[in-house]
Amino acid sequence: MCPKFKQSIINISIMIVYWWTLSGCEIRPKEPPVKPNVAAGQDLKASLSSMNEVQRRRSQQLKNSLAKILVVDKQGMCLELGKHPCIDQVHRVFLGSMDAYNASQYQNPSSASIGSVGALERVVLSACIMRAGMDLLNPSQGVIFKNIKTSIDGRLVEDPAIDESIKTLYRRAFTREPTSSEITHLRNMYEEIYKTEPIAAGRNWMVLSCFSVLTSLEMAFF
Amino acid sequence: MGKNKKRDGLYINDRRDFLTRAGQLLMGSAAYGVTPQFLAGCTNKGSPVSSSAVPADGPLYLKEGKKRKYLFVFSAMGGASINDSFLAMRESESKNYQKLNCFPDRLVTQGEGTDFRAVDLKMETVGPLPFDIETTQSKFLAKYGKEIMVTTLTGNTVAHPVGQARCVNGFEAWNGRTLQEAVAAYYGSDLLIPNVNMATLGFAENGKDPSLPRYALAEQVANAAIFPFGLDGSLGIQGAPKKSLIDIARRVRDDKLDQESPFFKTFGQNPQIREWIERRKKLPEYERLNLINKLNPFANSTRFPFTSFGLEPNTRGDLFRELFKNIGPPGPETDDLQNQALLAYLLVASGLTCSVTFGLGMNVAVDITEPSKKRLWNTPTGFDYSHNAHRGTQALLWQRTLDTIDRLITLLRSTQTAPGETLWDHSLIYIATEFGRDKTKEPNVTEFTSGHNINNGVVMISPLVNGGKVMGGIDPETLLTYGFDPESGVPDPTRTMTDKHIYAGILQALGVETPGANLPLMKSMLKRS
Amino acid sequence: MRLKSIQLKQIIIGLFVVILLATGTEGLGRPFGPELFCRAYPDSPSCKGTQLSCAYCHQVVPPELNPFGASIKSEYTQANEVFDNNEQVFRDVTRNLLSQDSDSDGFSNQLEIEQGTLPGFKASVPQSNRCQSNATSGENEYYKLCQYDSDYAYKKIWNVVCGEPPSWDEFTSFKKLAPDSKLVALKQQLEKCLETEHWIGKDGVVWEIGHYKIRPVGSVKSGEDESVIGLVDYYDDYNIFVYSQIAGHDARDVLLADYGVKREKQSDRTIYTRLTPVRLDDGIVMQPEYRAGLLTSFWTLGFYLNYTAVARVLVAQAFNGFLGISLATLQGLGTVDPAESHFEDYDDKGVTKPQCAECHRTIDPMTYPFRNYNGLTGSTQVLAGKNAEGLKDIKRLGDQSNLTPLSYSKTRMEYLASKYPKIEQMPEEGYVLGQKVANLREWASVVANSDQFAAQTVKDYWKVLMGHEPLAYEQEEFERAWKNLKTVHQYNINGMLAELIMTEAFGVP
Repeated sequence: MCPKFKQSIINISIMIVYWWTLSGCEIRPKEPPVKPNVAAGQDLKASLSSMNEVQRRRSQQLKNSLAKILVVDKQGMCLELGKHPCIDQVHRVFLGSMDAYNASQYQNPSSASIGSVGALERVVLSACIMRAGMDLLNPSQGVIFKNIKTSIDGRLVEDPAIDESIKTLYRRAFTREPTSSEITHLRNMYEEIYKTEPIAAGRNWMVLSCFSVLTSLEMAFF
Repeated sequence: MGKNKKRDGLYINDRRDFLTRAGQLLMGSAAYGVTPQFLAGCTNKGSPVSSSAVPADGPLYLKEGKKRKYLFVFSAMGGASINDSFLAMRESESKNYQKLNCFPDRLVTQGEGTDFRAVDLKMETVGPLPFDIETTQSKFLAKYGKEIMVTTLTGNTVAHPVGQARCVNGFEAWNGRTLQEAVAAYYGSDLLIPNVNMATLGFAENGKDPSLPRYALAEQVANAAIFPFGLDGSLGIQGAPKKSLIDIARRVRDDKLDQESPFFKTFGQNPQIREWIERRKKLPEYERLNLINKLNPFANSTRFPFTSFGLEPNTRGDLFRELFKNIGPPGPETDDLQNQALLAYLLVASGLTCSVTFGLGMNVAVDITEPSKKRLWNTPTGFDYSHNAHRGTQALLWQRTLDTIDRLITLLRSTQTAPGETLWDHSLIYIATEFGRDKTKEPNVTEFTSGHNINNGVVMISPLVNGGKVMGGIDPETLLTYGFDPESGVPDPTRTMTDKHIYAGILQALGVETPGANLPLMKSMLKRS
Repeated sequence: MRLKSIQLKQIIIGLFVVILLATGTEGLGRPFGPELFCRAYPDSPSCKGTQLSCAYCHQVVPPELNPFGASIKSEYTQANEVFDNNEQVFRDVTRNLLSQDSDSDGFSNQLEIEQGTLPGFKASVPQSNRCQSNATSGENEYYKLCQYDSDYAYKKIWNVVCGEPPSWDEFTSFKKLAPDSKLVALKQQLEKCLETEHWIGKDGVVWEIGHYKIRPVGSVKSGEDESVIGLVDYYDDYNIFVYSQIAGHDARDVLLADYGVKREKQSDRTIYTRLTPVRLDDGIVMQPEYRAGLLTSFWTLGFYLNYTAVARVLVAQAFNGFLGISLATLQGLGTVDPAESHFEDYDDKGVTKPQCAECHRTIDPMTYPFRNYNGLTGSTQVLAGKNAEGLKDIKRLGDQSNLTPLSYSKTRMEYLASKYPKIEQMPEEGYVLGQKVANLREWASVVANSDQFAAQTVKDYWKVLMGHEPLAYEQEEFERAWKNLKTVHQYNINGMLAELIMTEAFGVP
């Protein structure tokens, strides 16, 4: 590599780090918001079911559910390499459905397989990226992250809208209120995200809070 | 421990090291010494491994001091008749040749120094299907004859799925444990994905042994080409946060949100949920090993622009594509059998797997790369299309089977595990099929139909078996095969061999201990030292 | 694909000649065993709405016995009795076994017989209702554990039938209802969900239930979603199947319909319309008066019968798909006197050999009613335009006195006789599920009206709604459901589903 070019890159890198450090001092909330600002669902008792029966949310149910929860396009919510529908084509079997036409599978798989977790994460992540992007673009019309404020460098600005968005996410996904501890955990997650990667921490929190809730067991099964 | 020694791979016992280094083997820059020699144009030379083959990495393939062995089960769906390949009978050798599935003498060659026959023929159709066929079994025989063993077998069912299950579980010879499960249980406890099954129907059935360790159960892979996409939760997704951030979200989800959710508190003991949690733990390991890229040998293309999405297919893709010319992502020009065979290799050579099952499927497949000269890859229902056109089907699919196996062996032979040793030295390929076909035909016809017959023979290819031998024999006046003495191997026209004998012989050749199974000792099937 | 616009000849040119792989039928066995057991123990769930599997006493398929079968054999030996078809002897001899645990799984044979599990297979064990045997004592304020929970059922209807969760507003509105109103609302919600694309659309839930009955092969698909080598369109079969399962139609029509069904999309809704039976115009080659639903469809006759003379593969597939009975494992065989059934080796396959006849004397008479139903036999000659034997007059192609592919043809046997000299003697009269039938339409009627058909139909939906096959402790609700399908609901699937959502199996978390 040309020495002059290399030095330029180093200089630019130093400037970027310096700038981010400064701006972090200015905009980062002084105290991490750990207490929910909205009335959360009470942390009710939930003992173990003796019947203990659940069903897996299979590919079509997942597609319909994500489309309804996040208001994203059923086909466009996840396209591998920007072209190939994740749910109907690429990950169909991993997501619990049969491939009758191409693989002679005439019953749904009875259990999860090696790529099931990865496939679920990919689909949800894509859909969440899409939702977060749209909500960031037009906060007042946000479906999940309504009126979320971010600083110019992309950090969350403390606001009741944060807790409201968590509440909206749980209501839309699981038709229940989040518990106070669930809200707290997602708020704390922002702090971790920020510490790890301050750049665009707000947007990343939006994507990943959506991701963590919609890849949870309550979504994978019902 | 000396640094140099570690680099030489002499003291690596740790699994992570093992996997990492196995990965390097595939992703590194050293060139394979592969000289592709396939049935279409191969000479009668031996192993293609050259002096520039992959450097030795022997201990990577050790497990508790014992050299790990690898089982490849090729599912010959529909009934591959041994009478149409290695035990073919010449017309001049049978008084009943008019009524039996015998071949004109000129089509049958004897393998030099072996007990085997090969059928080289040309046909213009497969029954009503207008596709040319040309078989070159003699080339395969010349290349691997000393490592082929045919064991005669008389099964007990002519029902496809039942026969398929039995040919891999030895008619429940060991508590219903399949061959693949037995190998995975014995050699795969430290592997990430010990047992992978890409087949369908009875070949894909799990065994029934409740004492089988869970890790030895087969991972079912429906589509070899797109399988790697499921092995990473975010790579290749545009706009995805960094892995370190995803890990934070996963930790919050797994340790906090799930644990405290009323759903989990209520249903958390459900077996499906417990399994899901176990699978979740493995995903970061797949990601760390970069399997989404490592197991992807395909070229960047307009339809599959991997690099535009931050993916980097296996750097040895060019080499693999030279060996397997029709691999590729799903599409009309892709041969899924080649995809499966290559994935089988990649899984084993990456140090992930010790038992892989793959093979013919049910669907018709046609090579349309040259529209003016379409080639049939697979008949509808595989070998069972013999119901409509026995000779054409058997010829086409034996050729396809052997050709695919040839390419797989070529790669295995090119991957060194220790000085002077390759993966192939520790591998066994078993061509599993549910039964044979009728022995009879109508007089004076070149094509005919056939039903199912429990009498047959099965093929194993490996340096670990009694190569060059037919275990048992064949009656030229009926084409029925007969058995042999398990200890001495002496042919015995009064006995027949069962699924259990085959099952036992394969496990014993692979050095798998089978405590309490009471399997027959099949000494004659093992390589003579 | 509508056939009206397509020349029959072109269809035949395009049709692959294929044969079923997955359902072979031949093997050894003593088919009176299952019948005998069920006469002795008629109340066992293993004998209701299904056929006892050979695995009850054998290692999957005879002759090897499993531990329970071995126990029976031992008892017969000790009692110095011959194992024949005498149910009183069987009952007496096996009485001693009831208190034993043949497979050492911790459950007595009697309990396993009563619960419908396999007394000779260790992994098959009775399951008790866990709410009765192992109820947890803790509180749960989210779910009404061990009692019918309407809120839980409501969400489940949404997720399973509509394919998505309810919205917050929908759910909160439901929660506010009084208990009785909730039960009404559950049924109303079910009705709405049953109209969704998720349920009735192409590749929807009902369509996918049809997969194992039709067993599509993607690589030969023609018409809609055409493959590279598009040859056959089996979506016509799905259209008939889905139509029979929705909107209060008769589920038996899957085997009895003499009509085709058109599917079209109107404003994002899939509409299925029954067509007036007019040969070829309605998309079906078979003459209307000989049709029997999916049994005589283009796909079934082309794929499962194709060139073969005797429809063993087709029958095996029909049993598997519509009755849940696997002839491959010798399930569901009943004895028929060969003298009455005229069982012979009509196609020179050796089926009268003693070891084959044990099963084929029962299997083959099931195939006889397909005698005159043609798959593709003779199609090569048709294509060549030859007046081959059996093709008396090429100009009368399609007439039942001629040999027309995919049609009822009285000269089919005449044509096949050149290859199988005895085949013309094969009768059209046959036996199915122990009943004598004169032709295929009667055959289909017996099957469609059988307990096995009703039970299998309910089981299809049970698996969708509950996520698993009926468990031992759910047998009572399951049995009631399939019996009611035949009587109360008159084979209306939607009515049956309204019953299922009220079961404990569905609504108790």
